[in-house]
Amino acid sequence: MGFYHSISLIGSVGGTLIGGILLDFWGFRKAVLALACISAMGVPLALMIKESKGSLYGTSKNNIISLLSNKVMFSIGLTSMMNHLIIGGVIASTLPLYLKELIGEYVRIFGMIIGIATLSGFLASLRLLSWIIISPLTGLMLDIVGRYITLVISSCALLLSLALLCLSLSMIVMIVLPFIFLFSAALGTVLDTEISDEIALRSEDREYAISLYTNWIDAGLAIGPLLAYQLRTSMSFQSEYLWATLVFLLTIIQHLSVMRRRS
Amino acid sequence: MSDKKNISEFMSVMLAAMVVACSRFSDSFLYVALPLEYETLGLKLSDVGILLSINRVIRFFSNAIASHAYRRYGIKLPLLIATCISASVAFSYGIVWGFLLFLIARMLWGYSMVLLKVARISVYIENFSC
Repeated sequence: MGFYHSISLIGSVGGTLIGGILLDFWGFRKAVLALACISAMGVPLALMIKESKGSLYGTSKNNIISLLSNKVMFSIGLTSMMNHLIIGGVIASTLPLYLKELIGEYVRIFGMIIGIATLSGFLASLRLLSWIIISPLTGLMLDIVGRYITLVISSCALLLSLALLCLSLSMIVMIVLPFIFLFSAALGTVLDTEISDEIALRSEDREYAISLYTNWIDAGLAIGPLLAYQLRTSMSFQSEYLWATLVFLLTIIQHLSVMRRRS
Repeated sequence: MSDKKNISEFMSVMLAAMVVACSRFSDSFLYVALPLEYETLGLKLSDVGILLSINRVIRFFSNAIASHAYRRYGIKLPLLIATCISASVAFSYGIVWGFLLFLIARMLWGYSMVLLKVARISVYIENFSC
């Protein structure tokens, strides 16, 4: 499933990476039309897929209150939502504009002049790639030091790098951002492991519990950009990131206390 | 015979993943492009947040419709429709002007992504599950 998921992810990585470069060279219209041609290549590929009934996917009868009243599952869902809201929503969606405000239209790296869209695309693709890079390493860490310690380490590292992002200026931001994405992916992997184990303990409504967990994640990714751009009219990006870090700190504290009691 | 069947199953699964990969190109591009180009596209800064969020919001309401479509028509037809919608939406990003048209395009993209996601999982389960 990991390999299968990685192939699907190529589109997202390619879109940000290639798209960023094309945007700098060609502008929005030409760049998006070039990428639309790649999207259109999906049509003949879809025609080649063999027909099947697709009856395996369905909705199950369930009780949302019973799932939300489970403190552990609620805490995992909430923490995962905040992780996606702040990193995947607020930071990833505002990153190009934040970098533009900090650096300007172009930046000189190792003597090369790089456009802001290229740089943003590169950093955004790192966020997607970090899940592939860090997941196996986090799995190894989970086996060696246990879940609680891994949770504490990944959370603290993420909070520390978020704090650095709030305080940093220009070039340091570019060094801090990949670490934020890596630690966020590590925390996400721990949370995915936690929810998998919780769901495995349930004899009924497993499909619904999985669906509910993905809804937590979708909610985070939906609210993040909306919140970030609405708040931007009244505060700076740095203030936004600072508030986000504080809210995330509170979420992590409550989750650690729930997991501490659980173990 | 068994080898042929395995290769065919593997191909279906890879094709489904590649279809999703192709469809995602233009969506992820918007996360880089919209914040930088919103003014030239005739948008306000607050519109950017709405446009980047609306496709996720649509997912909450369209999961049940997607499941129903697959139960009724099988995998191929809804998947093909979803791929056509996502390609058309991608082209429309290069043509449309203004918030409302962008919003409709993003909503359509959100729905096609739900169909693609369900198809991807269904193809995987049907071919690789025991």
